[in-house]
Amino acid sequence: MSTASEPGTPWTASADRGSAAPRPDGPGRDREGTRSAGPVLDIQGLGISYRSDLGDVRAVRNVDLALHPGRIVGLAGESGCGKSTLAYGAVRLLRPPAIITAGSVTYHGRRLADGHPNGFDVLAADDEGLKAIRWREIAIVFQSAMNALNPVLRIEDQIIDGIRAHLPVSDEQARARARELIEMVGITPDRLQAYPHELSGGMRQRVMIAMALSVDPEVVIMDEPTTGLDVIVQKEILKEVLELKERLGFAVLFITHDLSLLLEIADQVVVMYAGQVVETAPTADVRIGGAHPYTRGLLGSFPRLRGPRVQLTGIPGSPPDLRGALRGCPFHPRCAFAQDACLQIDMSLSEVPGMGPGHLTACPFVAPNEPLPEAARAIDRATGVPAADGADATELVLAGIDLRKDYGGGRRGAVVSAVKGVSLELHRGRVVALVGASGSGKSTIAKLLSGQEKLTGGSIRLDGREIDPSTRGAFRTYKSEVQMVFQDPFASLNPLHTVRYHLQRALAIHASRTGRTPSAAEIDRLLGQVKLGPVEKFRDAYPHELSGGQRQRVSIARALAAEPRVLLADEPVSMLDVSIRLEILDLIAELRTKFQLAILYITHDIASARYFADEILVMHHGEIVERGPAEQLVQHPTHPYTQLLIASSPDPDTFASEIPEQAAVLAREGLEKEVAAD
Amino acid sequence: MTVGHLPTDTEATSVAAPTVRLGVSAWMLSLGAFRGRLPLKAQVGLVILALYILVAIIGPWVAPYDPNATTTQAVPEAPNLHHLLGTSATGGDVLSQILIGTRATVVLGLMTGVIATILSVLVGTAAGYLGGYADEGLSLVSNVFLVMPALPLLVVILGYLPHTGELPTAIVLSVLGWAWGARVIRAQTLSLRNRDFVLAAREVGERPWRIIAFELLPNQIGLIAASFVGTVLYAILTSVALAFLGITNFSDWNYGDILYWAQSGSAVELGAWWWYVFPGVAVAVLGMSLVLINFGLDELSNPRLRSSRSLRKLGRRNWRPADPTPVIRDYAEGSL
Repeated sequence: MSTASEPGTPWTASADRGSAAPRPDGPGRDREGTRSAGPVLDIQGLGISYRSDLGDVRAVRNVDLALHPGRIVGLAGESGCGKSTLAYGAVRLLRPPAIITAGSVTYHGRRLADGHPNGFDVLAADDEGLKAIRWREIAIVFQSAMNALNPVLRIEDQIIDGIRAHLPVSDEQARARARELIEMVGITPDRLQAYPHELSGGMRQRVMIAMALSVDPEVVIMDEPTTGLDVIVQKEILKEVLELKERLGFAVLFITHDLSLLLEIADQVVVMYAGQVVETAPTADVRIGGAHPYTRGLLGSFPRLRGPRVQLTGIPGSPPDLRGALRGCPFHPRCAFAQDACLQIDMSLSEVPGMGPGHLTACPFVAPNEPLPEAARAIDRATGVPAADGADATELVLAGIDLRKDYGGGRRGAVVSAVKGVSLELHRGRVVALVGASGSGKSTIAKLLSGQEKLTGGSIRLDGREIDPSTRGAFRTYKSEVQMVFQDPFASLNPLHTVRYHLQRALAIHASRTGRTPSAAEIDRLLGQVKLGPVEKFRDAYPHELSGGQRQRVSIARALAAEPRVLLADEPVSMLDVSIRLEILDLIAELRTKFQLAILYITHDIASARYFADEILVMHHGEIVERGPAEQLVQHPTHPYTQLLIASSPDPDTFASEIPEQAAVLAREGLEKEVAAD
Repeated sequence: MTVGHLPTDTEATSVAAPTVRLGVSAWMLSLGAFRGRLPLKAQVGLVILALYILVAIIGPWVAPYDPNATTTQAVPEAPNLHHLLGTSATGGDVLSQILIGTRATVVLGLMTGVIATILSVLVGTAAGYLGGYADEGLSLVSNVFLVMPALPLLVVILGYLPHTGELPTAIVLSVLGWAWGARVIRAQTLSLRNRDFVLAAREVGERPWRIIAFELLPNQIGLIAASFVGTVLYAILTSVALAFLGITNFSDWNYGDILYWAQSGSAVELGAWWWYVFPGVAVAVLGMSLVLINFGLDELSNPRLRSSRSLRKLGRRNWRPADPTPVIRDYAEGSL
């Protein structure tokens, strides 16, 4: 690095690099021609274990991965498959009990080329050596910007601290750089004086990106950088990342559980399962389907926004226990194409016949376009969601009329209207989806309809009679008709109570109305309804012994114990892994048909609303901006906000979809409003 | 809160029993955390505390001498075979005084612990769960008790109270000492109250008293236990301090009384170290055992304190959290 010769502007190196190299004329073009060929970060045969008294967890097994300058490698897979362990292990940020047991990690940085002609050996480096590499050469954008930013320091000071920790620059120079960075990520410089809590989630993530880029690193690792953000903000940030990468030429390792995101931005997709790479392919090849059955399963886990409303497969089952050795292909028990030979393969990657040289898969048996076996498709049809049966008028159960909710006022400061006059009707056997960004007021509607919050205005009618569920007298009667499924299955069950206790209580409380005794037989019946079997295994289990999907099933069973006619589901799958989201949605859909439940499905994901709901209401700033039959609304959105929402949703079929002009204007206005509100 | 009201209107009586039993089992589970994998610190603390309780029970019977006995000699006797811990200036056996004084000290501590903890649980959960004006009122009350200068107040009140047994002192100490625990429990209740499983219990239709008794309290058992132990320590130290200042019941013995007599009998000037060192050590060890129990409870309720300790060591080396990930190429499972 030329820091010593030109200490004034050490980061201008990136501009030099940019001007010296011819600009590539499109995304995805690698820049190997502009400098010595070969990866900037080369991971070979990496193995990482977590030591544990119950047997070591071998979280990463013999993984190869190479990052090239100016290219985005996307790392996808379910949670627990080793994505984050791989990324953090490669820069040695994991703490014991994590141990790197095998492999090599070599960094070929331009600035280190003189001192390390054969590359910098990360695994051999000591504390001091790593300090020189981290952030300066390899920066990380963490998932939770709120936790990664210091709440008591202004944004500017945090950026400056980062710069001055790595470069010998004056305070003024660092300050000027902070200004430049914050403009680069699309925030006005006056926000530099803000504290993290004064910024929206999207802006905080932009600040994180600005900080990661502050000393011009050659590699940027992004760990789920947009998880938890709304799709519209997500799209903006991804665009930002792509532009910056083009301009500065760094390499990106983009970790996400959302494969459809990678299809939009990555040059190459690496799919991990059970600590191993099962497929690595140019993004274009994955877009047309991928080769490994696991990749195909992941692609099949996302409801689409376009094309026919197809029944999706998801991936049944759950990932294997990573303790000890795995025999053959670890995906075998969940694979629709499984055969006996699967237990014999060694999971080495080989080229896919008929595809380019960069496309490798661990599955030697399945050809990229091979259709699902007949047996798997039969299962598929049985569990799929029936298409909407039009707008048949069925019995109206619950209606909210001109619902209003204000927060604050009085001595608590200015009034904030979370819900500004929303009306909705829930009919038996029909699913209404309420779609909106966070802060749109959709969860407040759930709280109003469930009686957790008092109405500021409007009324709730159950079977045509007005009722105030937040009052003590009406609460139990109301609860026997209207039940709720919570978002976070890890929080909604008391960790000290068994499944039996949770269900028995719910049965006992409503016993007089349902006429059912809270007996073991009734508990087993409930568990059967949510397909938790064998019941002996689950009856006396504690929540921590269950997976997220199983917990959510228990939550649903508990709600069903009251034999309600209305089910309010507030983001029931957003905390679950993509591969099992469909199973839970399918279960709710099946219960809807079986018990003629009226369901309010609250979500930020319009594609899942299309998959699952009969009617969609789009909510924005406390108001319903558009409503209509699901299919019609998604295919022909009329309100600009709906158009923006649909254009921003990641969709494997419509990568690089352009945002309509009117919608883009609205997005900018929204952003400005957000700033003004702060 | 209508604690004690049974929801018989909606529950078949035949099923009330098993669900209550299951609810109780949650309590057992949260208590079960204390069995088996108790941290070493807590084990040591509990053993010492058990010894003290044993002495408190049998002390008066095993004491070799009458603690009030006086002889004609006017000098304190150094530890010898007749008086293992020496005597006071008036010839009272220090060992007997400690053995007999243990009961009053331990009983006072435990009694205060129980009364103050009940007070703080009641006020803390009520304030945290009910919220609104109830919370503000109860918080105001506990804040007032927090800022009261406890020691002068104790001196004044106990100076006027008749000195019969430990109960009056325990009550006064409890009234002045519950507020801190109440604040901690209120904070925890507030955070638990908005957890989804409490909202879900409400959604199912549980009544408030059941939510408090079976959803909230079992989840803060560690906190309540820690608050109890802390209060016991406070009561013991305060009562010793008070007795040392002469505000005590001289017809009975406790550790503070011995120290008071040592002070007024010029033990330091006479070089009679045994007269004040042994009761002082008795207080210190009892206090230490309670602190150890508290640390142990802390480790129990915060598993990170435990796991980080047991996993810091890899091979022969201790790893600091900031160290880079260890690279051990010849690592085999169980080799470290």
